[in-house]
Amino acid sequence: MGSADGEPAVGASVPAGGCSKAKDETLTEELLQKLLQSASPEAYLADLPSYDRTLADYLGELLRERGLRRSEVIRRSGINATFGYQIFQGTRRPGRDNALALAMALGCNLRQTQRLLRLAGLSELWCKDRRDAIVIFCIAHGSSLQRCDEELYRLGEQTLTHAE
Amino acid sequence: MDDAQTMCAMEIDESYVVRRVLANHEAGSTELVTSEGGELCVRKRIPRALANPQAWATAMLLDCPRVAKVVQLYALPDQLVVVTQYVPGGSLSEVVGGEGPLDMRAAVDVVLQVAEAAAALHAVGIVHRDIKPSNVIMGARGAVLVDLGSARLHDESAARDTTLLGTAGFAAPEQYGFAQTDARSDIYSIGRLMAYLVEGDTGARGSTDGAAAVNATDPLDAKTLSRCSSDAYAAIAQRCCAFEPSARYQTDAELMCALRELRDQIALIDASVPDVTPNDAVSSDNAATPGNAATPGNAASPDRAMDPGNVREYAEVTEAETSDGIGTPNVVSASPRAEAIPTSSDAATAKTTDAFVAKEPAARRMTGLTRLRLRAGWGELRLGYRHAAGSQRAVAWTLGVLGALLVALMLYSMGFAPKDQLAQGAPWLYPVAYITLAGTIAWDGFELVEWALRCGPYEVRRGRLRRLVARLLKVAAICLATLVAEVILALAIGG
Repeated sequence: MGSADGEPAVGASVPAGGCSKAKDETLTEELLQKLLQSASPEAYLADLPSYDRTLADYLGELLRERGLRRSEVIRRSGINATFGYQIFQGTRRPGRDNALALAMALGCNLRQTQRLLRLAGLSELWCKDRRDAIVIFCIAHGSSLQRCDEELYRLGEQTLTHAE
Repeated sequence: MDDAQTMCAMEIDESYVVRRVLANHEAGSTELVTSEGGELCVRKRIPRALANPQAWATAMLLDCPRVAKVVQLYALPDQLVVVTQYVPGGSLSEVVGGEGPLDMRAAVDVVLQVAEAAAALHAVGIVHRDIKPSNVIMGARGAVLVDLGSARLHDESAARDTTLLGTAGFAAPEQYGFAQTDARSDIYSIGRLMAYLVEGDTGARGSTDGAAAVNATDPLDAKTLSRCSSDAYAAIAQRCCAFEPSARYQTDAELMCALRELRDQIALIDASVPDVTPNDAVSSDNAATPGNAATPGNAASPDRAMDPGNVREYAEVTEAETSDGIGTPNVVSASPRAEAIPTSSDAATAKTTDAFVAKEPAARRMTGLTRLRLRAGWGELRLGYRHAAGSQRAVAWTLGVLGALLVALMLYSMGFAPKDQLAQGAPWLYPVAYITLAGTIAWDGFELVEWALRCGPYEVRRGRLRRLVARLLKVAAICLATLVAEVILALAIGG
């Protein structure tokens, strides 16, 4: 997965990201290589399969995959119910912290979290940013949202869930 | 909506397991779901903008077997979700679409059940606004009305509906925005349903434009009415579909009363038809002797529980009517069709009226009608009169009385003043003659008005015209006979 400025993918260097999404879906890294090697944009674009997944669709997929219920996930993530419902419906977009909370409540691995952020139109986790690094570490080690917040607090960073 | 409510609603939403998605469009989606208790239900999601929570909440209080029960009602931030019981069975559109139009008896039963459902809804102030074949499911115990998606609570103060909902072809004119909808709009839809059941025609005529649909002045057009094997059925449906709400049946009770009468009428006709042959009716007045009609064994079909007492009484009344001459007008109209009338053996062997009538091609169905009318002429006239609108009756009576006066005047001016003749010979002849004439003209006047005001199909109109002409000829014949009798009397007495 490449970020917009072409830096090496963050996720690619983390081994504990869990298995990739679906076997038939080409890895983003491979597609990046293909793009970089093609002579013109058209050559690449011609073969590019369409990825028109919306955030709501992806969230639905994740729910189904893990057999979770919407209400459980929203409760676990600490997002308020109405807002959470609207995010799942696709009528509103989450902020970055909320998206991260949601990803952790869903039990996403790093690759999935990055995808979720991207679909939400937000910037992906960047290991060079202090806070992001802590979050990446927590995700990679399968910590719960609560644990992640504790770590963030401990290391002097803003927590993901904000007390009302 | 606060968070706790949303969370609660979401949890309820998730407790249902979706079995199948039945429909999904911008007006909401419909799914077949299983509740936590394992009950099969239909869940309907309605966007907030189109939803009417008050109507649904009121519907939840209803407990009528003819209306699909609302099991649960909850609101999510952007939609209202209604869970109703699942009624196994095909909708009327499937039944009629697959097996063809229903016979008269079945149709009346179905419409009665739908009217019951509508009555239950109206009793709590809900107007359904979307009564159509696909919203009536034929369950194990009869028709069930489903889908209150377009329903609203009747609001006396509103001048017109703010949300225009309904289905083209079945929606009453006021549903297009001209006026407030109320129970009578549902009655209109029931009228269209009546036409659909015997014809299988949705009447939409491909028009979704409100103005165009309303401009189709005759809701029951030629094609539809031609298949109605009973004028009374058509009369009821026509009245339900009057453009002006105040001309329709005002309450479901009125409509149900009319339907029940019709049903009893049909049952009586069916019971007595196997004993009737047109030749008997024309030549003698003993077409249905009390003995014949009274045995239920001869009745149309074994599963009809006919009360022997009623049948006998009816047959006696009919016989009495036909024997004193007043009830004979129908007899004359039978003769022009003599060549088309099926034989009596067919009548005896047919199991039901409809089976008998259905054996013949459509053109002959009118003949069967006439023969039936011989038995039920009086009853049908009574039924027709009762269900004619007040204005029609008024015009009919006016025409009748005027006609009678005209004839009296004519005879008087021709010199046959009763007081001159009363002193001599047969004083009873004149009153009898005048009464006969007046009665016949009133009857014909009613038919004439009916013919003129009801834009019936060409065949029916032609049939009516023929009957009307036959009656006028008969009137002329009576006049002539009276004249001849008078002349004979004058010759015999006066010299």
